[in-house]
Amino acid sequence: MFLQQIINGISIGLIYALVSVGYSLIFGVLRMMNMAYASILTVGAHFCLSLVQAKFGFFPAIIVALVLTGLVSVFFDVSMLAPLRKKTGSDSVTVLITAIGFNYILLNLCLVIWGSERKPFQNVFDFGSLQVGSVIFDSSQIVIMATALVILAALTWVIYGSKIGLGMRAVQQNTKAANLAGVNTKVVITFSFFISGITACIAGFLIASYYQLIYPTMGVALGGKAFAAAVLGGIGVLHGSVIGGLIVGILECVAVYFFGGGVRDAVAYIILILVLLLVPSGLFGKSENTKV
Amino acid sequence: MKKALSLVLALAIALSLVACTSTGTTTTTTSEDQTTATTEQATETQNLDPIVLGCSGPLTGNNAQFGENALNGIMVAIEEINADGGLLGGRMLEVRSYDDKGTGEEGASVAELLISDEDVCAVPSAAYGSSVGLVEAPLFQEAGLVAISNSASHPDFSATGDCIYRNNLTEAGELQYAYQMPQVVGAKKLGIVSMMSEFGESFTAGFEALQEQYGDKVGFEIACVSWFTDGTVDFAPNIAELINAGCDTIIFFAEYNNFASFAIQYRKLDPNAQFIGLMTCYTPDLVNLGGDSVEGVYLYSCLNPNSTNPEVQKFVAAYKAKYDGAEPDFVAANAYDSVKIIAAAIEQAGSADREAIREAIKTAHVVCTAGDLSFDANGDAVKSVVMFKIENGQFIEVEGAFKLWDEFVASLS
Repeated sequence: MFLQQIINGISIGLIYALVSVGYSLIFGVLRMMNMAYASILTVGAHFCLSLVQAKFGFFPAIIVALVLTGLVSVFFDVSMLAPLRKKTGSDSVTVLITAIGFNYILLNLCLVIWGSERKPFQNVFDFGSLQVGSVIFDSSQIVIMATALVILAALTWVIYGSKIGLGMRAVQQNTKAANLAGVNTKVVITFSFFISGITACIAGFLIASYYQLIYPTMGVALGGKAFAAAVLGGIGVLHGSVIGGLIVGILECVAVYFFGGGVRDAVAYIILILVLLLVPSGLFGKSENTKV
Repeated sequence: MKKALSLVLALAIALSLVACTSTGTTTTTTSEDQTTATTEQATETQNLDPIVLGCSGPLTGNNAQFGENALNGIMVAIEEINADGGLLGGRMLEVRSYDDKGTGEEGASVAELLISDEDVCAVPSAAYGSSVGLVEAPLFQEAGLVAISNSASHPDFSATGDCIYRNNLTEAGELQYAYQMPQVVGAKKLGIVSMMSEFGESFTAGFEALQEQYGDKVGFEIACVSWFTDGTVDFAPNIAELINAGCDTIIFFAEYNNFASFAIQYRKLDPNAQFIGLMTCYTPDLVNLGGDSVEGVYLYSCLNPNSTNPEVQKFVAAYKAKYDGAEPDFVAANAYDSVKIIAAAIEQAGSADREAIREAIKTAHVVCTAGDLSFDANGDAVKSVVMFKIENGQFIEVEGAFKLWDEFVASLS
């Protein structure tokens, strides 16, 4: 039973990790908390739903959904954040509130376009379950675990191994200097938002498929906990987000084991506050001295 | 570059809109359309002042389906009454409906809106759940506006005063049926899964109290009580608890949407356990969402669409005709009946004043889907229920499953 709760925790934790990687990605480049991410994920899941229903093939539908969600994310940056970056006097608070605003705009759009009720979604990864001793693994849990790891590896390669990743890291350290050094910062930022949109859509698709449900508020509770996981692991650090997600997921399930289901949602935030009291920059975060 | 990008974006948004419009119509627009439709109908046939009924229910949010069903039930009743020439010598009925989103805060402001609207003479559908109902009830009572909930089951709701009525089973009444279910399906180890809400906590406490009283006589024990909070999508920790406790039967104290998620996840790990749902699970949407996972689920409802009662037949036929073959649920039927009993009270009083309705409804009665409907001194309607089992996606009646409570208790010893 305890072991089963740990396995459940790992599987829920990897779902949080999938989402929290998205927060970290944008924070890693722009030092910005992309609070619209949960809604972009929801929109992505709904794109998958509508396009799969359009019946022009399952995989083409998912690929179109990925690209569309990427474009929504780019649209957010190009239409709102980029003009703000140009204006003097706009600071991180302005950007934060814009992101929160866009989050609600997308959420309401989803409500208006798709309706608020829960809609069924097919489980494409259902190959039965596997029993090892007293512990039961579900095939979609295994697919989620594998995908989370693949995405993490791919993103790590993009950021640390590719040329555009070098640009992303340069932009993070000093946008002006990167620009002077010949990095096309606009392209780098747009690319980052596109990638983060795609990650959001993959996460949305996997989560919808795992729970076999899609609805406009699916990102709300998930986004909150994933953000907590990102901060816990040290926001901006990709592997930190994954570890953070796992910690939140496992402790949540263990909390249900010891104290019952009522305390479950509070657990993520209790851990977050405790860790931040001890390590203010998160488990893997680097503390930085900002020069004034 | 910028131009090209904006073109691509515009195209993408246009495409996505096209892809979506085919699947999505929002509940709010439907309800607005309905309201204007009846208004037009009313002005065409008569120039007398219409009689305006109020409606508060969740048209968005988790329980939107129930708010929509209640409004649909009201519309069917109003159309029927208007087609028969309206009330009080030709005055047409119409409804003003507001979305309370299933939250107390919105519920309070919707109640204030209805109260301050002098045209509204009674509210045949107030608040879906008890949490919102308990916020709205004192407001309606203070304003002297008769309000009926078609689904709230908390004992305090109708106890608020003589303006507040419940056209649904009371919690104590529903418990008497819910408690018979595990016995009927032959449960040995029962697992209770309950949402932490006004309803869930009070229903679980009531169920446990019955078990304390009759536990040594019935054939089942409560092996596990597992809690979850509203908005939970992942039931894995709850399921682990239940399986570990060795439950062979699960009874679920929350709405169909949570139950569908739970059933899907539970079936992956244990295909054999029996499931029991409450009345709020009796909706075809449970089957849409849950698919094969809700096959074999036992549940009950105070509406039996296959009943031979001509009032039920008339209602179900009219409802299906109006809503593209959609099946009504108990909330829709109760809301339909509530309009009927308010109409009876208006005719009895010879007036559509709030005060006149308040007096008349105490003694009003009407023949409708629930049989001969009237309210007792507490403001509660007397209801009976029928048990169903889901077979091949259909709700099949399990005949003779329930006994009257006294007979059930007598049968135990």
